[in-house]
Amino acid sequence: MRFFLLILKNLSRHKTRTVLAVVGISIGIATIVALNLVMENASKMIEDTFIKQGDFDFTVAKAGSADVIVSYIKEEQINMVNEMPGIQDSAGLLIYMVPFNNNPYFFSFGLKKEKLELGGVNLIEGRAFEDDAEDEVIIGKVASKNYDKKIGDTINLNENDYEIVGIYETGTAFQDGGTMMPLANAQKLQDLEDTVNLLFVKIAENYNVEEIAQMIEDDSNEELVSIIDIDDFDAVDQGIKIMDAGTWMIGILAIIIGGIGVMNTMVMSVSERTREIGVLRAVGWKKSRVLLMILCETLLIALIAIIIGCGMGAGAVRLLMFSDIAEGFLNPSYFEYTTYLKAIIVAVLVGMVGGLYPAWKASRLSPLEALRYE
Amino acid sequence: MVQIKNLSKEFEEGRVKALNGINLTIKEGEYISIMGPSGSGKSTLLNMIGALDRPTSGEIFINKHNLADVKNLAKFRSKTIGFIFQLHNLIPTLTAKENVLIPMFEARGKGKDKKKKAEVLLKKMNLGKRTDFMPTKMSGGERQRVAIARSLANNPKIILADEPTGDVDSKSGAMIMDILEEINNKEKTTLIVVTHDPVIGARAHRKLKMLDGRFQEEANS
Repeated sequence: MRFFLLILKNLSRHKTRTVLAVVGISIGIATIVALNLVMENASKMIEDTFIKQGDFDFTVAKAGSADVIVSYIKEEQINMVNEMPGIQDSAGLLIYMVPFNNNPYFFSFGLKKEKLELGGVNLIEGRAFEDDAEDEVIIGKVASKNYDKKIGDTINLNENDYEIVGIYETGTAFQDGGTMMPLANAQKLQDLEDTVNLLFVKIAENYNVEEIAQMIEDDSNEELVSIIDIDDFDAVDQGIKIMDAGTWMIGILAIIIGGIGVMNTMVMSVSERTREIGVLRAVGWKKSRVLLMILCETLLIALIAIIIGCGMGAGAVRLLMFSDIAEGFLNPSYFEYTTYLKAIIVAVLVGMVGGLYPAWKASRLSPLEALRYE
Repeated sequence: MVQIKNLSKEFEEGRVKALNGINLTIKEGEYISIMGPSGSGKSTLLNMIGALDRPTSGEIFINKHNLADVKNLAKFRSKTIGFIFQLHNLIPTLTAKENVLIPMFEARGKGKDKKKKAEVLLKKMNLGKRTDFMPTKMSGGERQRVAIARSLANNPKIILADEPTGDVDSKSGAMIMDILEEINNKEKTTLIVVTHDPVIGARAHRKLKMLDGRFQEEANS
């Protein structure tokens, strides 16, 4: 008989109790996996939208903004950036959030027609809007599919009808799940004339991106911030930081709650098997083997919980994608190993935290006392 | 084989004296019964010889090794002692064969050989057809025979049996004693049996009686 088989048999004694312990940890793991998938999706989306896509080198935003939609860059600041040496081109983007269908967070973006390419917007069907057309929009590939909107259809945003003249693709769910309209029109609708939320900047050849990015920050008296990589994004949006901290907090809570659950299960299990542990010690089992047996039992519970919890977490995100709010927003990479690695680390910690005390207690039992246990 | 010198064991901070200056020498291959009323100290003595408990004073030598100097008592028990308890103490979730394999976890050797050995031991106990039975599907006598097979798993030098027939009927009890005596005869394994039953006790080569933590009398049959 293999040691593993003995562990399996021990766990199968009280199936309900073992299942409940597994479910307890699985829920914690599922929460961590789901939150991380959403988190990583958000990070990737931000990276793609503000750093990687299009022809621009980096994005400029207003420093200290709580969110990009309240990052207001005024015309004089736009002009200052455009007049700096080394700036080849720039494109201002205004983000406009409107309720549409059942989605209160439907995005419409304002961008000048000639800046579409710089902003990474590729037309895949139809034509671009005209900058002076107040009733034309182009719709993202994902939004077109989700809301069944085609070229020639009308879309009503904030009680205004717009004709869809083209379908675009950027490669990010955030932008592909909305519409784009001329910048001037978006500014007018929001009463934000001469203002943009973000400025996509392209640097001329032979100029250093980091140096120019720094220069923008310095020349604006730190009122503007250059987003070159994902870490810079914290300066204009605390959401990711808060979500990340929240994910870790939930992870720690999962360790504590799951650990207590497993500990309770294993303490009861050890207590019920006191006499048996006495027999094992009497027939020559070392303390370390008894400790290993109990620890392996908890780790096996954790291992099963990893498999179930990862499936549950990924499944929950998949279900969330069917909701109107997440539709077109969420496009997680289910095979992001770091998410599952975090879940495995948490589960193993839960197993160790929950198993160490009962395992230590079992190994310290005097064989004689244990044999006398009724 | 076993030499006990002035052995005492006290409980409850000296208020209870379970063993009171015991001296005993047991030769290799001897078959000894220890009888006496409850609380006379016979099980305490057995536990001391089996290295399950430490004495308050005195010394126990097994194969000239002072137990007080043995650092790894678990290893010592695994290699030297075979325990048989009144209640068989089998693990209920394991089959008869798996129960016999339990002490072999600490022994070296291939898993296949260990399984074979467990089967041979069970066959010797007339349980060849019940190797894969769970303890709950076996009679009291059969369970105790599995426990005997388990005690023999690592070829012990000494078998310590605490009331081995206490939980079975007289027919099964006689059968269990026949098996233990055969092991003692053939393998020359030292056999020490603690019992209340005078009939079982009388079967030993050397019979010891205890009262109040001392040997009351010793008579050879």
